[in-house]
Amino acid sequence: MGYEGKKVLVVDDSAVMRQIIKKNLKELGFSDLTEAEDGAAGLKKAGEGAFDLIVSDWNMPNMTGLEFLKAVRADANLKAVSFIMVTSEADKEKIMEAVQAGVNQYIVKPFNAVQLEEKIKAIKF
Amino acid sequence: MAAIDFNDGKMPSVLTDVSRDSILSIFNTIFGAEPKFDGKDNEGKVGEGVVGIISFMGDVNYIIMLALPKDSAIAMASKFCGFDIDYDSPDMGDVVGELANVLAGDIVARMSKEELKVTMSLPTIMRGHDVEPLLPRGLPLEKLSFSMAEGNFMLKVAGAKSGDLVGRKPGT
Repeated sequence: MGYEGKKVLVVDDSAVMRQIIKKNLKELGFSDLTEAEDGAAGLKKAGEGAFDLIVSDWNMPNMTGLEFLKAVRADANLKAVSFIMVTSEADKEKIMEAVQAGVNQYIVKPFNAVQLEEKIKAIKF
Repeated sequence: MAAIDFNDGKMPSVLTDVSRDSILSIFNTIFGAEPKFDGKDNEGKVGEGVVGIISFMGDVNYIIMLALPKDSAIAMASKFCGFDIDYDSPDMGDVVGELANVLAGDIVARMSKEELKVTMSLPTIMRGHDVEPLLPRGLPLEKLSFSMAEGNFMLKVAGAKSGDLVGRKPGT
């Protein structure tokens, strides 16, 4: 699968989780990776680069992944960007909330590169 | 299930049962083998280690503390990340916080099945010798001990009042 040249923004308040997600994405063939430490920083970076995919944690300080997703979908320049929500919460209500806000895929921690790839393939961006 | 308070000073079994089951399931998924539950050990000590703390708020207010002795933390961090983490680095706190976070997410879902609605805080990290947050008197505390190839560890479950909760809420 040719992910070379696809730009991905990884948003997580945990520096280690950002490293893990980036490691997984590199294993899948992505090379153009940018990171941000919360939704607010992610929104700023999203506006500065033409990203193909955003992979964002849900529970973060300052701006949650859900708030970030809603801001992305409300922005005319960003609303078409594919968005994968990464979260530790598998509660159905949470998943529905994310779906209603326009998430493309939802992945529950802990996950591995294979599971992440399944979610990325399902987007078909 | 009705909301839970701790007026009788006792720990409801649903809190420890859900916590134990989440540990067995989540650690099995992460580390590839189910830990052994060694029972409750309320006199148990961790010694030098790292503690990831998450508060739950809602139908019941309580705190979990995932306490990893130093050697267990090093081994688990390496397995979790796929690369080694220096014990003294900030990343070690990040990993233990993330482990507690993943565990707490599973606990929220299991509590929901028990008809207890709770939300979780962001993780707080403490490190040192037998460290734990200052807990209010008169509220129950249970220490659950586990062992696995990466080492022993403990999950402390403590009742709380809303004003005693540790940890920041996510979001704005």
